Amino acid sequence: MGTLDLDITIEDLQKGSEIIYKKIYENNRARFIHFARRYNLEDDDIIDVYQDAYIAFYTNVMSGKLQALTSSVSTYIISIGKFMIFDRIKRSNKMEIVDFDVRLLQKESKISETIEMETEALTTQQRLLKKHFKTLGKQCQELLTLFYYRGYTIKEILSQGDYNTENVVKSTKSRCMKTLRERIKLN
Amino acid sequence: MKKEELLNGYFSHSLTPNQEQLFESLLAEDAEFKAQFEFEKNLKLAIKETESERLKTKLKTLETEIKTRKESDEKTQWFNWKIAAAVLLFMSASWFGYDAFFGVNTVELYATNYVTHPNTVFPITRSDTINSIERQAFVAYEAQDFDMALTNFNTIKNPEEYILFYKAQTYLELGDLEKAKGLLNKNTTEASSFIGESHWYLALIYLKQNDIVRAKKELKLVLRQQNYKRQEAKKLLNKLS
Repeated sequence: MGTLDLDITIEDLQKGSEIIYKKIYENNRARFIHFARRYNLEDDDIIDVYQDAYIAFYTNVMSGKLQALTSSVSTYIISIGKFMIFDRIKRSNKMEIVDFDVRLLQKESKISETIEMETEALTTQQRLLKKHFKTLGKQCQELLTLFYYRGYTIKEILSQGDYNTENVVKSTKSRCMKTLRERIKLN
Repeated sequence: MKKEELLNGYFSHSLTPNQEQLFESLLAEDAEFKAQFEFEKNLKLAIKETESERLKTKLKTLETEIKTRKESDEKTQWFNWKIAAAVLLFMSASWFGYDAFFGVNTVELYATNYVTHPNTVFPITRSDTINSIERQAFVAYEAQDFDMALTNFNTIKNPEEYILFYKAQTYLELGDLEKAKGLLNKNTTEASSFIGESHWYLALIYLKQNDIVRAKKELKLVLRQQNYKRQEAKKLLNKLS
């Protein structure tokens, strides 16, 4: 996928530049569609899988789960997508009608070890948390996202510049958590 | 070390091996600690899901953009073919003495004068939050997806007056000259805007249909209006007379 893929580092990706991510999405799209068509999937389904693979990659980068790139970004996304396609096929019991290449899985297994691909549905408690998290103020949502999604330490959140001291970060977080608990109780 | 700090350390992946050991033993023995951990772990998953949903929405928008861009490119290519075909028709018509018979080549006049009327009524910006049918219609119109534009124009409830004119443009693009003519005529009698424009496009339709008498009549009506295409109408009239 051109120079972008060759030059890109995990640090670049972690900065979350919209332009870079948009480019990554567009640059790998046609290649993925071309690959996935051999599995008798409709184009809309292929795009759906591609987007899920892209999200899984993005999440792993942003959460710090993926610490270094051992392959190109392209290889990561397409490998995740391949796993997701196989998973979909397995779930819809279409295994016997497609040309399923087990060697592909072995080849991609290295990538799958470094990438987390959560596909399980949320529990009732998690759904409730999601619902009320969305009702929190912007500051709380951002702070909790930095902490739980990005895996930032209190110090790292402080270095973002929105807070004066570590204690302010901690007390704001406590206040946000308290509000969240109260709202869940009132549910 | 406070329990809260241990939890913070866990979620920011910054526990030392000793802290990890302490964390594990608390998890096994301290019910309150375990409950707090479970709550935060669930919150982490809830936020992750929220972020994934946010990203999915963004990707869907991006996907629509990509598809619209692609269709627009295809339409442009198709449009270029239409011009090529018109030129070819003109060339072959000349070969068969078309010019000599009519004295003027209306196909050429049509091809050189016809340009789709741009959207001048509904500004579209990327930051629009309201995705009304009218907006969708004009997005499609600008992307030269005239089938989609027509569908949307037809779905607008209580359409603005100018929709009549843009619907006529859409029919014109889709090659349905009769429907376009009907709407343009209606516009000249019922609407208060795009009158000169309607006469101009009616003139072009008549040109395309080789009806020079009616084309001239419409061009004269263009001249009666304000400033729209005055020079072009005069030039065309000269060529036709």
